[in-house]
Amino acid sequence: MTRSEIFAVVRSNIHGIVEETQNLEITEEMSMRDLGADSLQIVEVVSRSMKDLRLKVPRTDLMGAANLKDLVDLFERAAARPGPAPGK
Amino acid sequence: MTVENLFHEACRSPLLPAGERRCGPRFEKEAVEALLPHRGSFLFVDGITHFARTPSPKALGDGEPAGTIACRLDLGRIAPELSGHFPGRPLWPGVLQVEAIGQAGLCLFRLLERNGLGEGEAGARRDYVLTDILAGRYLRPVAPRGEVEIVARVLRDGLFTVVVGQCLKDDLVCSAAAVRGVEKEVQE
Repeated sequence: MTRSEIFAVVRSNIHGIVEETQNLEITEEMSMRDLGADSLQIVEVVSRSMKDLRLKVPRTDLMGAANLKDLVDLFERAAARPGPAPGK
Repeated sequence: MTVENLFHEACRSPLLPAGERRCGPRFEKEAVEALLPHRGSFLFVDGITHFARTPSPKALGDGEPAGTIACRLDLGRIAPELSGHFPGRPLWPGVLQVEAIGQAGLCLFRLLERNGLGEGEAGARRDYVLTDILAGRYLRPVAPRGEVEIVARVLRDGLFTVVVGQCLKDDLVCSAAAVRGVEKEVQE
């Protein structure tokens, strides 16, 4: 899974969950707060993205992500780790 | 098993047969109060009559119930609070049945954590915050007398935990609900 594929999943979930972002150009330097997401929408975007990407990242690590770049970094590292086959 | 399937199962019939719901391990009120912050007429679990974790999972896994709990509530204890709903014909409000299912689920979640099925840092104190009522169905009116049983299962859904449960009186399903929430670290 490439970094751009991971970011595409996150961006798609932001567009689907956070109102009025459908026409916005979203970059990695942005935070979900910048995009108007409330705390529950942020949890929903992260949760749905992890499910779509079949990744698990500990909550404590996620709390340190200040922007989308940090989040994609975490997902990229989790994707590179050896783990159970998708769906297990 | 999906949340939707489990919810429909909870609407149809008891999630556990009566014998299993009462076969222990049992936890009395003092132990329940160590699991829940609710008190007085807003504590809807008087005791736990059964708790079992699903045999195989090492952690709360996506999509599979990680455990089942059965609780009891003495409706007579909270009846005085319900006299206005409705005067002369008191009923246990459906929304409070959803709350009871949520409380049973929280007891189960905490018991699973004690059994090493949680994901958080060891020793970290966490709150559980209800975020959504995914589904609810009221099937029979419940007069506030006698005991009700509350049966619940928990499933992991990404960062969320889903509780699917039902309220039973005389072995009949009175209500079923699926609620969702997230854990929140408590700042000491």
